[in-house]
Amino acid sequence: MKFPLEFIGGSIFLPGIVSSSNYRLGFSKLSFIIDTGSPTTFISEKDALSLQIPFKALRFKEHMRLGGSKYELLSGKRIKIYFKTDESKLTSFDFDLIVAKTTKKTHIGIQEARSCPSIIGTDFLIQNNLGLIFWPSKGIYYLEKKIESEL
Amino acid sequence: MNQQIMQLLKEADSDLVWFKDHLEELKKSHDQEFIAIKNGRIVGADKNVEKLLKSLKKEKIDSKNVLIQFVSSIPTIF
Repeated sequence: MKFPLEFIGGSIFLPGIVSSSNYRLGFSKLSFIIDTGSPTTFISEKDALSLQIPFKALRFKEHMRLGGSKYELLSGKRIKIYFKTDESKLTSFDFDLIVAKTTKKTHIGIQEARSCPSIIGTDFLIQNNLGLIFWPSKGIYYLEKKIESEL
Repeated sequence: MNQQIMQLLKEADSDLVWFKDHLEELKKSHDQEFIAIKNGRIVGADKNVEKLLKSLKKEKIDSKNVLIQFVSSIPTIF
């Protein structure tokens, strides 16, 4: 099955819906950037604020450097992420919540760091057996998931 | 429930396409700002994401039902 992507401003976007009874998210809209340079998948601080995820309920996991900035990776409970296939079918993925929170202390530093988007990294692609097909000169970009019988 | 999620996904998809189609003009009108998009229009914008979320709340717009994107004319490398 294929998950269509959008190529916007040089980045690869994937729209999704997140849900979790643990955080009373309901069904919330979110866009991810597919980043094969990131080993970690996370919800950005901006998106965590928008989703009203309580930061106090998260535990410190480790530090991460991204784009010259340092972030704390905070872990939480499992959430569900829904994506739409090219055949308009719904597929859900479980994700142990990770939120990237800036360590910056100045107002400008915090605002700059909050421009960071939510990222789908290589860990998510590996865990969920997803391949990235990216051929921009032909306008071809999608994630593909092979089901076991096709492997 | 699946129909509700699919409808929200279609909206998120449309709003992302709208963002792509209007990115160049947004770089001029909302550079370095967070914008909230819902049904193909901007329902809020601010340089500070917390202020944006407060203004959405004031307007009784659920931040979970909008797509929030950062607009930058400066190429960003993650």
